[in-house]
Amino acid sequence: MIEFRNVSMTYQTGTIALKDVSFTIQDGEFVFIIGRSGAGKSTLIKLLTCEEHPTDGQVMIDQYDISEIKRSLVPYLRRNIGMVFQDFRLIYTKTVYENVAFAMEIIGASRRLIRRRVPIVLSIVGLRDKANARPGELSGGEQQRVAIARAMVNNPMLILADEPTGNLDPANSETLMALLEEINHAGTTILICTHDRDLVDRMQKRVIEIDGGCLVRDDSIGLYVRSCVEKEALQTTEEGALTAEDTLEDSRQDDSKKPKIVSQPVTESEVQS
Amino acid sequence: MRMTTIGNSIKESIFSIIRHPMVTIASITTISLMLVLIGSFMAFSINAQQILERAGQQPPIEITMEIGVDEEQLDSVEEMLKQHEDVLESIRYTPQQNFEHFKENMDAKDLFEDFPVENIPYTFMVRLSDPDKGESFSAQIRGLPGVRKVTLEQSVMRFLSQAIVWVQYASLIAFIVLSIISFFIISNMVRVAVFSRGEEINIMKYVGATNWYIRVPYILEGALVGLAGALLAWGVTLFAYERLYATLMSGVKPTDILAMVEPGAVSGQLLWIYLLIGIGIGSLGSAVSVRRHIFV
Repeated sequence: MIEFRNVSMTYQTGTIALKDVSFTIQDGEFVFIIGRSGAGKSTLIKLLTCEEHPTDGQVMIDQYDISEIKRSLVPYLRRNIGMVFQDFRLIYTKTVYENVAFAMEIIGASRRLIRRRVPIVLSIVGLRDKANARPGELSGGEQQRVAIARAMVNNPMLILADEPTGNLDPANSETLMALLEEINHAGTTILICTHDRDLVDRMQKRVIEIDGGCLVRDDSIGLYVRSCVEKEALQTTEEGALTAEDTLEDSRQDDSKKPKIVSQPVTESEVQS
Repeated sequence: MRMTTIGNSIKESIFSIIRHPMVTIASITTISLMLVLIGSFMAFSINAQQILERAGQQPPIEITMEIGVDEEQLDSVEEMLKQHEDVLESIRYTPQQNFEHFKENMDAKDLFEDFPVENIPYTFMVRLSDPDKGESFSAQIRGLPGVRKVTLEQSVMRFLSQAIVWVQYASLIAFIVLSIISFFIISNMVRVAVFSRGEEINIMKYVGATNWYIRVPYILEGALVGLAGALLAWGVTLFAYERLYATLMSGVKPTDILAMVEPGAVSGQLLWIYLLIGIGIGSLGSAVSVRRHIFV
């Protein structure tokens, strides 16, 4: 369980990133963090990975206050968190297989375990046949799936994704979300920071909105745009465009817009192992 | 640390060395240069030490008695030398023995056929347990009745003794200056490596790599560069020493007082010292650099 208790964060430059933010995320939840650029979404992720520490309040993971965590323990915390970034952050000199194996090598996994688990994870993200390719040879969507494979290979309790669809086209975004949803069904908590309005509206997951460092909304099944004022603003600026609700309605009716899982079948021997 | 982790660290450090060949070459060259200089001073010191030891084993003190000294005075000096705690060995030479010895060293022996032996004094050759006590011993003997002069053949020893001290000072200064230079060059090498792999290091941090996991390959890289520098310096020094030995020692017996130490004996000592200093400075320079640039 993740809990933010009255968390405030001010950077050394004086920029206030978060103001008295409190919320709780239960194990196995799928949550979108939304908000404008500079609203404080990334700071929230940085607090969870202990890149930053709150100036006030507590960040709890499973009742453990990570805002007070010793620096030497930070790596062990991060081993339980999978990270996915907008810019993929893959090592371009390594192959797809090596990029994923790398995450296991770092935590000291045996070569035998690495040889067994990496192909399975690559099958799940649908990239088994590209194991020997280098990230530069892959499309953006494929690279992001490699990043997800790397994030999930150590069975983390939490996956944090910072704008994971920012560099992807709609089709690849759908695929990616389907993949994350599949991982979520296996029990992993997923926390996604995004600007992708359509995606949030279509997924119908919990939405936490941050604005100016404050938590302004926490909906259990939320949409990206909620208030009438915002809806009106959206309608006027996007003339002729569908409202968020319309988009959602369309997506419910149109099966083709539902997330599709692209996983390659895992062989029987892999499942047994 | 597990075997897999150690293997990965070694692999990464080798890759890093290959990735920046020019920086690596610069680092190896600097370490080698430093070690060659230190080695040269050391080789001189080892040789000077050997000469000093051999000189110390020669009888360096000669006591010359007055001509016509009486037997009682001779016995008194001889007894005093036997009783003296610093005297390792003393030999009494008669005028006849001294004359024979003198003749042996002369080419024209016929010239000395009628030389009056009574004009040659009695002498004592003394070997002290500690050659450094020569001066005080000489002062004691000079005051005895019948003693004409005490000759200390210590000028060479004194020079060597002082030379060793100066060589040690020079070695120390060279070691400090060159260590600092090597240290900064290696630190810079590691800094370049860290910056060029900044993205990778960031990813490692996000995935949960510990400080040590990230730092060890860089420290190993420094140690490997130090090792390469040490071996290169050892080869260069040994080659130069062998050449010098072959040039200066032609026609000189290895047992002579001024003979150089054989290359085989020098090479072993130098190798260990080079390895110790090279690997030590390499890994220390890297450790300090990665500590400054990598924070989890």
